[in-house]
Amino acid sequence: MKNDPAVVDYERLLASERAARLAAEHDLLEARKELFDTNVELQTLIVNLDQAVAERTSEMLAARDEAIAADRAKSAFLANMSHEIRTPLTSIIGFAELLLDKRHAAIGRSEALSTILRNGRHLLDLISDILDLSKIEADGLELEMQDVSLPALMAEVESMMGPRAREKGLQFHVLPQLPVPAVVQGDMVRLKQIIVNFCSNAMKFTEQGAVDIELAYEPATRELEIAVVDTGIGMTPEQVAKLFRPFTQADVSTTRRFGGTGLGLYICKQFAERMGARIAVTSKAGEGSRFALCLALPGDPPDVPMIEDPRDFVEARNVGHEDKESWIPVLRGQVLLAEDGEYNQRLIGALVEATGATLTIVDNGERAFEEALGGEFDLVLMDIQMPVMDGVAATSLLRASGYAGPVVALTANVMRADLETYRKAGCTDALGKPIDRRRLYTVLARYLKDLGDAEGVKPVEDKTAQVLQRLGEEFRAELPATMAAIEQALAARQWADLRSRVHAIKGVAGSVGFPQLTRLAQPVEASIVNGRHEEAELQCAQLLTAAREILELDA
Amino acid sequence: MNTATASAEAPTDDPPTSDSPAVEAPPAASPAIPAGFDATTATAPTVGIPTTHRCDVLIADDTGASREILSALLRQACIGVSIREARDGADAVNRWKEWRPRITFLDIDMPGQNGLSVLQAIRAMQPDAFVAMVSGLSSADNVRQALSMGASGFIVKPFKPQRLIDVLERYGTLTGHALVTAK
Repeated sequence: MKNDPAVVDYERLLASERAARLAAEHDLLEARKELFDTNVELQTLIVNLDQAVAERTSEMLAARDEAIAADRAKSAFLANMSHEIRTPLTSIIGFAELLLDKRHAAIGRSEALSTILRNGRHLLDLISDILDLSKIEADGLELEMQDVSLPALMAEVESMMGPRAREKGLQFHVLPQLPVPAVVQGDMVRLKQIIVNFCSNAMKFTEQGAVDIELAYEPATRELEIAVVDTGIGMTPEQVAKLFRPFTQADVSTTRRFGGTGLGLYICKQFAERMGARIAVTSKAGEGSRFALCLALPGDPPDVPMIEDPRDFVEARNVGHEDKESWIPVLRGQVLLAEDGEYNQRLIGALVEATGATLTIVDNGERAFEEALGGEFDLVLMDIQMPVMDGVAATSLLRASGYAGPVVALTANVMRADLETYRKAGCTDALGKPIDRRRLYTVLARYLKDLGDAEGVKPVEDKTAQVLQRLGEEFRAELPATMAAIEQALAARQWADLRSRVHAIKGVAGSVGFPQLTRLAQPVEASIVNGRHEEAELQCAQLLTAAREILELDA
Repeated sequence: MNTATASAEAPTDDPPTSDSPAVEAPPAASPAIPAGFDATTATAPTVGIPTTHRCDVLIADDTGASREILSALLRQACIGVSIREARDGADAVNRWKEWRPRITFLDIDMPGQNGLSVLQAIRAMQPDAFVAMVSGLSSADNVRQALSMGASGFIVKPFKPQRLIDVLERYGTLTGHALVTAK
């Protein structure tokens, strides 16, 4: 029986069917499990989707609230601003009317005028704050990064804030915790603006006691801290948190009581960040506040010169201040000056020759290249904007030829990006125009042989003052023609021509006694370069007005 | 060892040259050394490759005085240089092929094959050869042309020691072999 083939076949069939059923059951189970998992996944997805929708909705709501708040803040700011602008204007108009009205002859003329002046200046501050702000928001803020003497910076802040502190009966001191770096990197004007802003805030909110500037160098973080510390009313943590938002002050009543635009600290923070620095604030209501600007230094001592002795700090401050005009290093060496502008040729010529160094002048980049490569100059001063071949091209070609001597760029464009271009071309240093006497001498002393106090060295006669005076007179004599040319270029909308004329003024006026023209020419050039022609026209009108004022004063 | 002895040794390091019209480098005390660049004022070497590690330099110029001044200045500035000279372009190409110097100074204005053409010939043999051009014409166009053809540096006649040192220092920076001993 057992071996009956039919039975065997049948059993085999049964077994295979059983196996097939088992496999099918297994597959079914698997499929069910998969279905279950998919269901679970689907559920999770639905829940997640709900969550995502809820999140997006709340994000959107938050964004909307933020936008509404920003809009409100802006409206409040505008309302505030119109109030802020109207108040000084009312005074200006009122006192001007009084001055014109013969019946009120009793009103002190000088008092009325000084009120008008004070209010006018306040308006100017407001407007420059708003301009700064719009530049920051349009991302068009340009900083001039340069070496800034710390003692000189402090001396400038002191000269501005000291009298104000005394007026209010407050103590005011600069307290360097030695050693401190002698030089920091930054934009001098903006650095001063930040510290002055800290100081004016501190003085505004301090009725008695002191406002001090503490200077401390932290070697571990390589940071210099410039802290303005007051004994004023202080702030709550909530107030501190709101400090750096634009358009807000500690509270609305503050504006009424203390004035101000509510922009100062926001602007300071933007400046600081763009200089690679940060601002730290600590404050306690009723006890006082501490506003610190933390500046990173480019290197460690001794790469960064340090001031160890308090006398050196005071002395360095004086160098930055009163002695600025009198220091002339005694130097030997050959200098090649490549500069196409006659004013700067003569001015730099006089300054260089006063040190005892010898000078060769060429007026374009190609001649500068040939002279430098064939000569043995200890230093090349290379103007950037020159005819035939510009300073950047001449420097690159010199470097490509193997020339290894120092080449210092002379330029009216000292924005960070410009400096990077000059450095890449092979310039070892850069000097801003208008030429600052002390900075020129610092650079010359760096590259030429300094005879210092060596015996038997006779200082060369310094003719700079005479040269400067003569240049100033000539500049003024040519001013009507210069203005006419600018007006003509403006009327004909010849922007390239206008730019080169304005550029020339920018690089020269400041050196020969008309810094206001340099200051006003700078934005005109920037606007032309950026294609903002309407803005350039307005700025040009200001420049022409200032020039006219100079000529009227002269007449 | 000071630079004066180093330069005195340089010619004796030169292998004998019989089959070419090259001239031997003149002794160090050449009267052609410009004033102010005196061996006695040079300080002891602070950097430089050992004298056993000779640096071969080829100077190609059709003017004898130029060759003399340049080799004098070279021995003044460096230790361990072995200098050979060529009188014209074709000679320069032959000498270069035979000797493969580390540094070559080529006058541009030479009769027959001029310096720029020699530069091209050398570049074809060794693309990264260090070849500095020498010329009395320092016009920017002239220099630009030489650089675009691959010159490693440009020296203007009359020679100024500092410009020669600049070029030698560039060689040092590129190859890691400092040659200049004193400034």
